[in-house]
Amino acid sequence: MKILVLDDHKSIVDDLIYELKEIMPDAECTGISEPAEALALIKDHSYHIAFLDIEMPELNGIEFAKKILAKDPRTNIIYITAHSGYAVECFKTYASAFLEKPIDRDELVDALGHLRFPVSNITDEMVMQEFSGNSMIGKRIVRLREESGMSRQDFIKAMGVSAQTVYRWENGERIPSMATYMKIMQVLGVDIDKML
Amino acid sequence: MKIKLNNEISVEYPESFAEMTGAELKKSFGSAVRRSGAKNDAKQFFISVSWTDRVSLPTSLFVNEKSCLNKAAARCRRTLSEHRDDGHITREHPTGKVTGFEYSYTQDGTPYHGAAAAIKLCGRIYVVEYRTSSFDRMFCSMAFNMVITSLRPIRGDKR
Repeated sequence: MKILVLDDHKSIVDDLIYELKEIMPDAECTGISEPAEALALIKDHSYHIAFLDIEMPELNGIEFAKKILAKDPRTNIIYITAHSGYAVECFKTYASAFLEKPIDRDELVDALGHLRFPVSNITDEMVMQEFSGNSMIGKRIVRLREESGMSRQDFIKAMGVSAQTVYRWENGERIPSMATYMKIMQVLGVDIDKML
Repeated sequence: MKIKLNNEISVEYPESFAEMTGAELKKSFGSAVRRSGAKNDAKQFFISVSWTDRVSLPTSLFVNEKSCLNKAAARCRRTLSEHRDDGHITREHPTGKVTGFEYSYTQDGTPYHGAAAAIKLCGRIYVVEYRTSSFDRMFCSMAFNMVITSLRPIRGDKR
């Protein structure tokens, strides 16, 4: 997950990034306190979440949000501000959350748990591959074979098929027929529940 | 919430904070003289700004940020039970780095912690101090930093 934090007060950027890393150690956090630097950054980078201060010299956070959204409309915008008066204007940019400084940790965790565009490490490609059926069955065969302590050689011998055939099953390149599937269950000594 | 201190310096407390009364300041910080403060009851977080008279030579040789912090630290050690000194800290202010100290103590069985930092503005020493039972690190640090950086001269008075 890529996160941008923009506030003209460096101490606030540091505090927020420290906390974000405590909550999400794997997140890649970028902190900026110079608006000019932020404008240059968003030209080449996209972020899943952008924490934006509103009142900054040279740059208005709401206008900056519009620039981010023009490039990537699925960026989650979370405004951080000392003044509650901007709430209505902020939500015209379909903000994910509005946090008042000083930021309460529980409110931050809540905001991260209710993003407008939830962020996941699972890509669309991975989902398609996983649910195409082929890969799912193949992975299951490998896992159950390993759990039963059987080597691939022994499995090939027990099934009476070629090594290439087993390789294709395990890599999702070929789906075994129902009869073969039932034989695999027998060889591996597993119940139908585990195979399905 | 912007407050004028001694008509020379203003401080801005976060919107979610309420200004403390003299009695509350005396209870939390031991004195209400030349002191302003604000609190967030939900977080049991109290923050105050106190200041000295104008100091110029030769007094400024003896009354400076370090001496004010030493005095604040001595007061903490004297008045707070199970007091523990947690070391030095530095914070940012538009005029430069600001130094201070952190501490922790116990009150009625509840652990508290606090910090103080001193800065010289317009010939006076200002000490910003907070005390809280909240261990929301980000909230406490952010509130402390916000109040420190909000200390500004009024009407463009010189530093």
